Amino acid sequence: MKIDTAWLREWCDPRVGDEALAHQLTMAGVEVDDLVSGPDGSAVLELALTPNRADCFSVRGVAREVSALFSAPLSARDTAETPAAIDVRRELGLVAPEACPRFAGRVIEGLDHGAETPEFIKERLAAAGERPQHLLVDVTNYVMLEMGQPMHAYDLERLNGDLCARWAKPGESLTLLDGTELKLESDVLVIADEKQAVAAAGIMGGLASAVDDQTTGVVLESAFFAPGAIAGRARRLGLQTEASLRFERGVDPSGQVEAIERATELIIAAGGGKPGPVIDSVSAKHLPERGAIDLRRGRLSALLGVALPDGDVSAMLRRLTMAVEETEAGWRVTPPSFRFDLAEEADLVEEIARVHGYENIPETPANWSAHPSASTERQVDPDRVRALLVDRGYHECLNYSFLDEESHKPFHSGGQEIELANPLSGELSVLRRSLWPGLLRNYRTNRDRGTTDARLFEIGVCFSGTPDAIREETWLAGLLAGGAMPEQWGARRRDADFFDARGDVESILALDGPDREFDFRAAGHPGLRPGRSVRVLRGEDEVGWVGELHPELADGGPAPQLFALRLDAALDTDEARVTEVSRFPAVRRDLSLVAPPSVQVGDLLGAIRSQAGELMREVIVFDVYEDRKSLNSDARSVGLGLIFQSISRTLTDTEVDRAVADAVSLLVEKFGVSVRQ
Amino acid sequence: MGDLQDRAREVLAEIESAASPEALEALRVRLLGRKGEITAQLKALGSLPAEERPAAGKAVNEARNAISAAIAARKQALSKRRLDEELSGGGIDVTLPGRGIPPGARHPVTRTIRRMRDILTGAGFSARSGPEVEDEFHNFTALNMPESHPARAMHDTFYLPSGMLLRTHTSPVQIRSMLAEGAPLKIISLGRVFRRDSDQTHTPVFHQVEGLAVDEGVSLANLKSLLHEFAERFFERKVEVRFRASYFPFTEPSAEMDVRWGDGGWLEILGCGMVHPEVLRHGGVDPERYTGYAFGMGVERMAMLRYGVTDIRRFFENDVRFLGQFAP
Repeated sequence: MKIDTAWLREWCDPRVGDEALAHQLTMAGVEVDDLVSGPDGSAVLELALTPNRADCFSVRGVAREVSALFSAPLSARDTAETPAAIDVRRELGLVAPEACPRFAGRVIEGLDHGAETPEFIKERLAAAGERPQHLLVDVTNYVMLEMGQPMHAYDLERLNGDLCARWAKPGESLTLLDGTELKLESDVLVIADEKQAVAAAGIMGGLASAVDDQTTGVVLESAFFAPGAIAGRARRLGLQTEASLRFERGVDPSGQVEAIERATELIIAAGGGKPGPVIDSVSAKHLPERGAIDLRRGRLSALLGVALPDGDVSAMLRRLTMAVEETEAGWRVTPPSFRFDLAEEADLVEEIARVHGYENIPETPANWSAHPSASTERQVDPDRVRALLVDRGYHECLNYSFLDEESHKPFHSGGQEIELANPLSGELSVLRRSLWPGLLRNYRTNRDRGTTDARLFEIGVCFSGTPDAIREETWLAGLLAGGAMPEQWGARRRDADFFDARGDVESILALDGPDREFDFRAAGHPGLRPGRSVRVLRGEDEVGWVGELHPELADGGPAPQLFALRLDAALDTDEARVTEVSRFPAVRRDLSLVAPPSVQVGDLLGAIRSQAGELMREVIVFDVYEDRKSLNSDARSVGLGLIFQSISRTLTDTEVDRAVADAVSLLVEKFGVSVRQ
Repeated sequence: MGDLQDRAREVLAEIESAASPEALEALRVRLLGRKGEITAQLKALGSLPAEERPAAGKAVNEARNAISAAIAARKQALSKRRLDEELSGGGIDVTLPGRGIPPGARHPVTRTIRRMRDILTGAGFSARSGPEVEDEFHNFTALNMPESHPARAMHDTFYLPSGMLLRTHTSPVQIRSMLAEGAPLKIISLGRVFRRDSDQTHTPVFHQVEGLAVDEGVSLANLKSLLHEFAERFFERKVEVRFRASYFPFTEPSAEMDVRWGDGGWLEILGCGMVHPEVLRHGGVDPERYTGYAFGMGVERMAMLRYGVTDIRRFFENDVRFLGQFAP
């Protein structure tokens, strides 16, 4: 909304410079986005109006605001009534009074069809960003800018009889001024003559009844449409106009006749013509009413945190053209008809705050009671996970929560995609079920820009379930590619592999505490290379995956290592309970085993641990060795270190030998391993 | 006696010039060993007349102690010299870089969220979170934006076919927390929000941090104090702020806070206000007994200001050369 300050000062002159004027309006919530110079040299205010301040959509509206803020008088500018010179009329019917409770209008005949729009109107329209086009159109636009009342001019000759405001009929259509063909739905209000719809009410007029340079007779429309009857329609139809913008936020329901008179005055002055009587159809009970609102002194000071003198409050309310009655508790206030945004006490508190000035309200620290804050050891803070990964060389990424179906599909096991109804584009159309596609894209971006080693992670919500029952869970995902370490003189170049990724995952899971209830089980995943992926379980609960990207998805480049963990499930820890540590020496015995190719080391460890007596403290894998020549088969040599310790005594060789023998015979029987000599 | 003293002097000089630990050891054996010279003198004391014994004994013992001490001192000096010689040959090129993996970096957005959380939890707020897929009630209706409210259109909402939506702000968490916990309540909600918008200053995904305080006697003056102090803690310097009237459906009165920035102009950084009574009612809180304030800010915007980022899209590109500019 652009306001010519010269025009504004005709209505109310605060006697301050344009900068000060703009500042004060901005501070009071009528934000001046910019102050530019207009076509005639005067300054133009560019207002960014908030949706509650429909009343400021006009020069007069802003002038009222200026008057309240600067205690400056509003010019008395009563519009003269032009008496009827002819008795030509069009009746204006209220068929849908709930949507159009007031419909005013008048006929003017005998216009000079070649009349030019006066220069001052053209200039002011131009300053407001409106293109001058035709006297009748320009005048209605001018009146709208000046008084906030949208109007429309119909060519009298092109109407069939009387007008009414009604809901559109099923199947009805209308061609608008701009040529748009509308198929009207039944919740769209129209202005219709006796034959057809002639305008989309409050949005735009129809082409068939438009005025042009042959027009000598006009019907002026100046109506009040209920905001709820207009809101949303223009947007849905893609036709947001100056009129719809004002109607859907609220136009003064008492200004219709005044606007007709103002337009009449301007039209006749420029184009002659004889006016008919003003028709003003009103359904009083459907007009919005401004009820009285009680403003309590105590409430006002409680909300603002400062007590203002009664007299100041009354004066501010009156400057805002409210009807004010002092009561015992405070004030009984009736807002003016154009203030749609004032419905309850809090709204009046805001009026006081902004007229008094937010800058004049003190800064007072709250003195609420101090409660100790919560601090849990039962859940690992995702920030701790971030710190761990960052310290291990990872960069944290953030990706959008939606992506394209194609790159997403391989990374979740079936299930219907959860699509957005109105995505920005096809690339951003489904909600993510996995963080991997995002990290892979980040990896490729970095690789294309010359960074080939990557350690990336993201923590964020993934969606699962069905489109009708969506589940949200916070996941951690990571990606490793390129060297296991940055290129350096002191370590041999080695590509990061599955075990680097798994090691990082094990470190994260260690945040859960030392009770190792996690299980890594070989399992297939559609996005991971067969034979190089593992499912992470906590009990029987799947909490994540580690694996190498499936070569088919790797773009021909080296395949990165990936991991993912469902954080809430993986890291709900328990508070630590300490057990006594042994003061007696530990005994280690190493076993060198040859295991058949089908045997996995994890199975050996699982078996030993599940059979371990109370003396066995730990089993470590110190070597894994595959060498066809020396082993003469596909078998693997596996070195296990068994560590024994008692809480109460020094162990004897005999009992350790027995425990080792038990472990060996278990492995021999169950897995067919042999002990290497 | 004079002989002994002369001899001792000679011997001490000899010890002092012993060239190696081995030579020193040979000397020790020759003097103090079982068949050594001093040992022999001690043994010979028995053959002296009784009246001479004490004086002679004292002299021999003194000589022996002096020699022992000299040997020990010389021994230490020699081993120190040997160590120095050994170490002088074992140097390495200490100018080579160290081995290992340097740390990566935390994303500037989560880093900023953590700072905001730390600053605000220090002021007595507790962090809460809520779903990213929301319903119309929690995202709009309960926040005093009934259907057809013009502010709804300003939110550029992503919808799902089911009618659910991606939350356009973290304010639904305020409703959920009020309903679950009642008043008094001091919470912050932090997380992702979604708007159908994309350009140099808008991404369809961004993050918000919001605060809500509901208690008896919470006022606009309290809100101004908290937010001014917050801005100074966040930017780690004195900042000039101003509050100007604005409009949000869920607060009344509403304000925007600007900070005085670089060139002296004002820069809007957050929206705030006193919680609208209708919102308190939707949260099951009696607006006659309690008042509340709320505030909310865009995390990316704050991070852009603090770190000098000029294009919001950098945050979602995840170029490690960008991310690596932030300390881990």
